[in-house]
Amino acid sequence: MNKFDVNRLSFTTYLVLCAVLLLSMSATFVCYVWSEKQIDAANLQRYSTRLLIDELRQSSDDLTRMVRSYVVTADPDYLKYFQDILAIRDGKKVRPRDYDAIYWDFITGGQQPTPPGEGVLIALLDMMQQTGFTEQEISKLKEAKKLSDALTSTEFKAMRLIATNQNKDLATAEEARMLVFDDNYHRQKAAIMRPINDVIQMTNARTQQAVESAELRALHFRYMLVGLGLLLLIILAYTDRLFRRILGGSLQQIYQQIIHLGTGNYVPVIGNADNTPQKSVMGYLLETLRLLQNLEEARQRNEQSLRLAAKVFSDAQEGIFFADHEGIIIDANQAFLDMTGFSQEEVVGRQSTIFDSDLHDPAFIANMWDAIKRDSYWRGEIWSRKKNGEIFPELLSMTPVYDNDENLLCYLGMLTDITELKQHQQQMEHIAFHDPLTHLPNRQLLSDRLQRGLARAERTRESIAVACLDLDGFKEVNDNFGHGIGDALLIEVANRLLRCIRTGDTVARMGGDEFVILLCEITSQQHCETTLQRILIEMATPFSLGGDNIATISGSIGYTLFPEDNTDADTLLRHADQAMYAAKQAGKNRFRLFDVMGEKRCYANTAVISRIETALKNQELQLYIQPKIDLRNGKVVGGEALIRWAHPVRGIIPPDEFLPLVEHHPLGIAIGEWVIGEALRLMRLWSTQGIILPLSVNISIDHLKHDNFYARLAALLQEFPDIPPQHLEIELMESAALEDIHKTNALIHHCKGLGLRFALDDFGNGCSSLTYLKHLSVDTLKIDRPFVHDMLENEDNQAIVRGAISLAQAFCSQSVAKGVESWQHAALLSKLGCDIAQGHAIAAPMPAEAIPDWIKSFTMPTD
Amino acid sequence: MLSKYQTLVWADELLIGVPEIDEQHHLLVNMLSETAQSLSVEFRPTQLADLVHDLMSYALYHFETEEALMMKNHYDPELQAKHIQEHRMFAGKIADAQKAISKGKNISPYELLRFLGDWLQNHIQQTDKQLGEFLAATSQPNP
Repeated sequence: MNKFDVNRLSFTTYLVLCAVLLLSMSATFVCYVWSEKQIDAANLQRYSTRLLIDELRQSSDDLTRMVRSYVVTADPDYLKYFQDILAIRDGKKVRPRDYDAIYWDFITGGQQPTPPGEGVLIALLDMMQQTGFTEQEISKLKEAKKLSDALTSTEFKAMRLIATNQNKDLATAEEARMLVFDDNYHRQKAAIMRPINDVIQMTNARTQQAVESAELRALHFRYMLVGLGLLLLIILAYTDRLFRRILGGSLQQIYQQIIHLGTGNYVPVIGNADNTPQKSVMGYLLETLRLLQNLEEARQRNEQSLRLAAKVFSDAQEGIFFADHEGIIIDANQAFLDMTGFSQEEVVGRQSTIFDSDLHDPAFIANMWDAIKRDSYWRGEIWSRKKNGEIFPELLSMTPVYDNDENLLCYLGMLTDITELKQHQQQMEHIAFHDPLTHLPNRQLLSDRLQRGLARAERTRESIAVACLDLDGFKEVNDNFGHGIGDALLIEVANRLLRCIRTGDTVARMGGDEFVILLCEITSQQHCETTLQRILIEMATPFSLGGDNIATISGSIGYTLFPEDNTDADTLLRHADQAMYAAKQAGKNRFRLFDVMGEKRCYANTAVISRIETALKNQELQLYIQPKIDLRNGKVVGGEALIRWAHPVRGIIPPDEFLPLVEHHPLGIAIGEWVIGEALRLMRLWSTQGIILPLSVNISIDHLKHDNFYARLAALLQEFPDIPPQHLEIELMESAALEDIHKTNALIHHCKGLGLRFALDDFGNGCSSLTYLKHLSVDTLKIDRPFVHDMLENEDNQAIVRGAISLAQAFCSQSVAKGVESWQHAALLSKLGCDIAQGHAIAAPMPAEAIPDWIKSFTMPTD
Repeated sequence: MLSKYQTLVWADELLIGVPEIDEQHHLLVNMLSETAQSLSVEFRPTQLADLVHDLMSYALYHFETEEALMMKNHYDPELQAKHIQEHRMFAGKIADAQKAISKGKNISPYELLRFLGDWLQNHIQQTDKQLGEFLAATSQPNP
């Protein structure tokens, strides 16, 4: 830009320079022309000077001729002529025009010389003075004049002689003739010519000089003119170059480019931005073209998007309208007009409230506007009014339109008529939520209504009854009359059910012949049962199903009441269903209320089982050990492993407070297995400390009879190969073992193959007979605590103990006395032949960790 | 609901104000009253066995709830010990009854029901109510 400015400045300078040069040239030319004129003037003066001198000479000559002619002829005309010539020369008579001719010529021409009144009255000498003769020349001429005047006087003399010679005297004539023909005359005449010749020479030289100096001046001006011309050419050349540089191309190109631009075509015809100087007219022109081209492209793009937008607006299937900030419609498209039934003129300029259906409360509308302002968007379903008053649902989205400065321009609304969609949706909803056969609500709708009913009941503190109805004998109807009749029956059942209930209650078909009745606002159980009774009567009333088809069925209903049965919807349905089965089992055609407490009890049992399972998993179960000693030598010969539950909250819980709960449960077997494994583990632990302590474990008969018992036992023993199997003894309750003695014995026999021992616990209770005992291949009989406990005082018990010991001896078994609470008991037992004793006198059951220390410290009292 | 077996019947004076415990009490009491009712219709040994089984189960369940609440809320140690002692006694009694029934011994349903009813009434109205009052007084009575 800067450079361009400099160029522009210098370009102006150049132009000024050119103008100055042109002016100078013009001035020089004027001077030159003037100097040429000066040459002419000098030449003219030279010519005039010569003419005047010639005239002087001529007039002198003419005078001589005239005088001589007069002298010779005495013709007065010549005198007159003579006088005329003199008068003309002295300015006393008018000079004829073209007076350069010989005066004689005028005469011979027979004309009157110089008609009066023409020409000028001027003396020759004055003329000469006017013509620019110098003083010196004039003085010479005056000298010549004087000489001429002298001659003239001679001539006058001669003429007077003639004039006075009236008688034509020859002598006088001769005298007169001599006067003008003699040598004197000739000398005089020649004397006149001398200064004239001088003047001629002088004027010649003078005028010649003037001509030459004028010519020289003209030549100078010519040179000057040429010089200036050349300078102008050079400057013009520079100017042209600069001009071209400023233009960046030829004028022609620029011209073409602009003409081209004028046609609206912005593609350059010549030149390109690469080789055109940037800071030139062409460069800027190309740049402008490029900008214009970009603008044009942008404009075309805009135009296209505008066209598209206009197309979208006009052809969209969605109704589109623009409303100003006051809700006044600015424009609306055809789809909108078609949808609403208004014409363009009827909507433009009107408040958009003309479409309000009045179905929405003001808060809804206010919320909508809030959302539009807050989120710049709102979309939702809305009811609108058509021109004909019809109300239709539409999906409307509203968006505010802002200009670049965030000023609200208008609101854009787009809407779709969703009447059909809504209808379809309703149909779909009906299909989705109703049973196609009976048109009763289906499971889903029931679930929905139940949820809502529960929510309401919780608020109002009313009761809800959920009743499950199952038809008795429906299958027979289907089998005997066919499915068509079966369906007709179901429809009739549905109708009858609907007759039995109040508005607000629900009858739903769950599938097959199963219905659910939801009775709301139950005031009492009696109230509910009245309704259910009516349903039973309706169901038991024979159904006439066209023609002779009469079906007789009945219904079984189970129901439960909320909030008495305070649980969720699904569970309520399940409870009603359970009660319905109970009704069926109780003989059909009746209703049964769900046993809430029974269910809770059942739940508590399940919860307890899972709690015990957790205890097993979390190693809350422990084995306590009660030592057994040999009464003969006081040696510790073994221990009974007794399970305890180290409850984190309740402390140590004895087995008889929780084991009965898992007695007939798989968990009981898992616990039994754990006991065997734990006993083996303890034995291994002690053996590493040098303690050998055989353990007996209590196993339920259920566990023994379990299919996997043998395999699991074998696997456990295999896990502890360093523990001799005979160190493990399994204690079975006598009473249980005797229940199925043959099977039990077979199992014992089988298991003994693994090397372990068996004991019969609590012996003495089970009314064992010798026969029975014979069939049980047990190694140990454990005499039950009460017998041992009382044997010191009670003879009968002592007899039983003695008998038990004898039996053990008879079957080569060991006898172990439980409940040995004093050393007196021990002494007696020893005396009776019982070798092994277990009881509080020796030690209470203790944690397994305490065993090693106890064994070390234990000594049997000697007395 | 006349029954020849006099036992505890649920009434609002048994409420101690801790919903969780009250519901369990309600259930325990109902177990007794239902058994009493069914026994008055027809005596079957399994009824007692079922009752004892359910009670044993429920004792475990219910006593844990109460004892956990005591621990959690730092109940007075003396009262807690006395309370737990009563639980142990009850659990032992149930275990004994269970054992007796499983051994086929005849036990008097009348005596058992009376014992259970008396114990529950006494325990709930005395011991548990004390706990309930304590829990109501503490900031977080119902975890």
